[in-house]
Amino acid sequence: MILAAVRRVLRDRGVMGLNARNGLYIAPHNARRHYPVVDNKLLTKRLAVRANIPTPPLYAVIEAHHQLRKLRELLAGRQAFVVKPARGAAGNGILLITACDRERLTRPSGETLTWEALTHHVASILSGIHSLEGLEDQAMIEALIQVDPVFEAVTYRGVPDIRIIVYRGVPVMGMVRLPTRRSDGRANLHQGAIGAGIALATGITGTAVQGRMVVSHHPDTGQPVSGIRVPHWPRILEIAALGYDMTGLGYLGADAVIDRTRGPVLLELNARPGLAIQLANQDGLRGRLRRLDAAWKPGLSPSVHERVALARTLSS
Amino acid sequence: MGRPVLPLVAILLALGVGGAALRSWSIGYPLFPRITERLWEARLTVSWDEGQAPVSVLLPRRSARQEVHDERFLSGPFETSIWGDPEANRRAHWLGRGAGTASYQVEILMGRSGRDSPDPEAPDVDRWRSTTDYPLPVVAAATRLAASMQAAEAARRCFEYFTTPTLVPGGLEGDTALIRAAVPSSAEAIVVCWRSAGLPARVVQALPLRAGLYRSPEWLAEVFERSRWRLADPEGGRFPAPARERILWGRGARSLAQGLDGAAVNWELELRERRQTLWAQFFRQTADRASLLARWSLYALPPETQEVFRVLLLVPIGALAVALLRNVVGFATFGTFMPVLIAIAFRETQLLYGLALFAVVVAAGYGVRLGIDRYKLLLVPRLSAILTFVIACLAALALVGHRLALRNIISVALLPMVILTMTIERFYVVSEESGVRAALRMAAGTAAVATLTYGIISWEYLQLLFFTYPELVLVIAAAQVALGRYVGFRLTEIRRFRRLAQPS
Repeated sequence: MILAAVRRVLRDRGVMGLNARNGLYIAPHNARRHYPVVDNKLLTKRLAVRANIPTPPLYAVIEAHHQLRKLRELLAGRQAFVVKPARGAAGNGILLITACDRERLTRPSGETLTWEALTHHVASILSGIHSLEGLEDQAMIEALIQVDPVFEAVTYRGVPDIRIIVYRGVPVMGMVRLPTRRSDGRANLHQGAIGAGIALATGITGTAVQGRMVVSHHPDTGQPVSGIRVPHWPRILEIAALGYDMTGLGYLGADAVIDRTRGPVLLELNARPGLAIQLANQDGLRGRLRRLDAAWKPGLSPSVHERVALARTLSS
Repeated sequence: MGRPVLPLVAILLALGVGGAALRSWSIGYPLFPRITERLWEARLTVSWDEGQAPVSVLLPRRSARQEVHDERFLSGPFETSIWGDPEANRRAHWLGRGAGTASYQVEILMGRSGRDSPDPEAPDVDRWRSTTDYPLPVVAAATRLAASMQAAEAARRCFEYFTTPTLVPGGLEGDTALIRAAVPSSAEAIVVCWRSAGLPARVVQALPLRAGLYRSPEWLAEVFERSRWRLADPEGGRFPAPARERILWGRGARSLAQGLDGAAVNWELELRERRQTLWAQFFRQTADRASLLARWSLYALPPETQEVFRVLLLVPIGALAVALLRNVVGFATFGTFMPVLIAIAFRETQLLYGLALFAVVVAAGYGVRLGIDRYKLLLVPRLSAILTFVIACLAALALVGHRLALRNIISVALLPMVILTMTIERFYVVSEESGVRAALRMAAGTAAVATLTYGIISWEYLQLLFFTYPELVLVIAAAQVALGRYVGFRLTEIRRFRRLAQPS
């Protein structure tokens, strides 16, 4: 049967399914007690700061409704910022503000909204609308990332982010997610953003997909999405690898963005990273994980630099 | 990696199967129960005149193929007592004076086994050999008949002589006619012939498995041959005749009901058929038994609780189905066990109505959710508003259902509205995040899983099996544990990643 044949080829090529990810990697390597740190972006950020990992500057944290009245004071002097729920999932509830004055705030689309509307948005974040389990949440307001010129040509509004799968503290696969018109400026693959695989050894993008379709050019800007050399690549690998030291999660997805002036910063960590990265790279994850397991010597705890070096050699 | 699960799976399997087998063996439930049984209600009414008391009636036999339950005597002023008779029957005697009427009611359950179990009285066959009760000329004629045949085929020959006169050899017609004239039935004539040939034999009084009013029994004959009793039906011309199609009421030629010194009394026997589910049957059997497993059976629970557990014990199978469809097939559903809850809700409405109602309410709720989104309500108040809408919707549907006299729609009120509310919210969230197509696909997955689960929990055979042998849930648990280690691809993932299987 065709299905069985495809299944065999996928297995031989080391493609990983959800069951294998959950049963063979997440369950044994990610202890439940490490989850709260990654499920709450504020906690992740605090840990990152302590570990000297750069993150976007934090402007304000809103924890209670009474702080809403002072929202404008808290943001006095800020021109551009991002409002996001601390426990949000899949980029929900994130509001980007590129400019503001006393009356109105401007979004990347050019659309404007009133301060009142912003206050309401923050209030709904607090009530838990966007949070994972509908629990009460905190709103965090961070500096807006200025897109690095390298990505400007392949980004529709929004901010592209770099996702790296880290296993045993060693980066094993990476991709950059490029917002499109279809994804409404968001960097979520299932909403239509482009995922472009990155060669770990060189930091150069290769194959790319939008949904399940392989693409070579950004549909909105017409610019090629492969062959892009991601700046600060060694540092990005390092930040991702440090995600393991920070959280103790043996299998995680690290999301970083590159700011024009600050360089790479860590946005968030994910204890259950998706599998679409395999499509972006047109390669299977499980093969790479197996190769790493085979190269792993028990009892060894290599330094970050050793792990990054290992990542670059293993994937080349 | 974790500890190997095979030992755990093996233990669960062994406990489940072993427990069920033990229960089956110790209580005697069939391992594969049928759902309904044919139950016969018999009511024997006897009336007699002055001077005929005491009156005795034959009571139905208990045997492997017929169970006798719920015997009741309506004796009026007469005293009832039961004792055996020389033919090893049970007979009830109404003691007292004067004319009277009395009746006896009984429920007879025809055997489930279908196979002939060895007759426990087999060693005691000698009492069925004697011909001394018959007049000498009859015995002499029968002996002549017996002498004319070979011993090996005596059983069949005797039967043929009295059922098919043309088969009687020349010169013996006189003997068969003599015997037939001397006894009241051909069955008894055959018995005389068999006994003269040295075979244990007896007359059997039976009733056909047909509802009706009977004033005389069916007279059958039975012969003990090759270590078992074989039934002969002279009227139907069948030998051996299957015992399955009739109730064997008693043995011997003595009348089914008779007065003092064999005086004839009026009697009639009314037979009615009733289908009974095995539930009641098992319940009764269990109540009768003192064994530990019988007392620790779910049949010992109060009836309303039993109703609940019938369904509840099948929910693990539904959960297993959900696990299979999600982890092996890759169905996307709203919530993990939402489909199971929906399936349980469908029990009130029937499947099609349930699905239709669900679709209608969720579609309408989705419209409302879209509408109120512009007001940007906070989570809990918003969910409350949707819940209110859902209940209003159900009330409206109930009114419509009442007008159209659709009972199923009215029972919609029992559909859990919280499940509906959460489904609406999730449908909205998925359609916002991943598009309406993804939401519809998820809705279809949920409906499919709910339908399958509904089918499972409504399957009465499974209900009976799991209720009777609750240990079997351990077998389901074994399957669930084993499934927990399935790390292969989901079917939908093969489609999702199929590009990666192409030559690059």
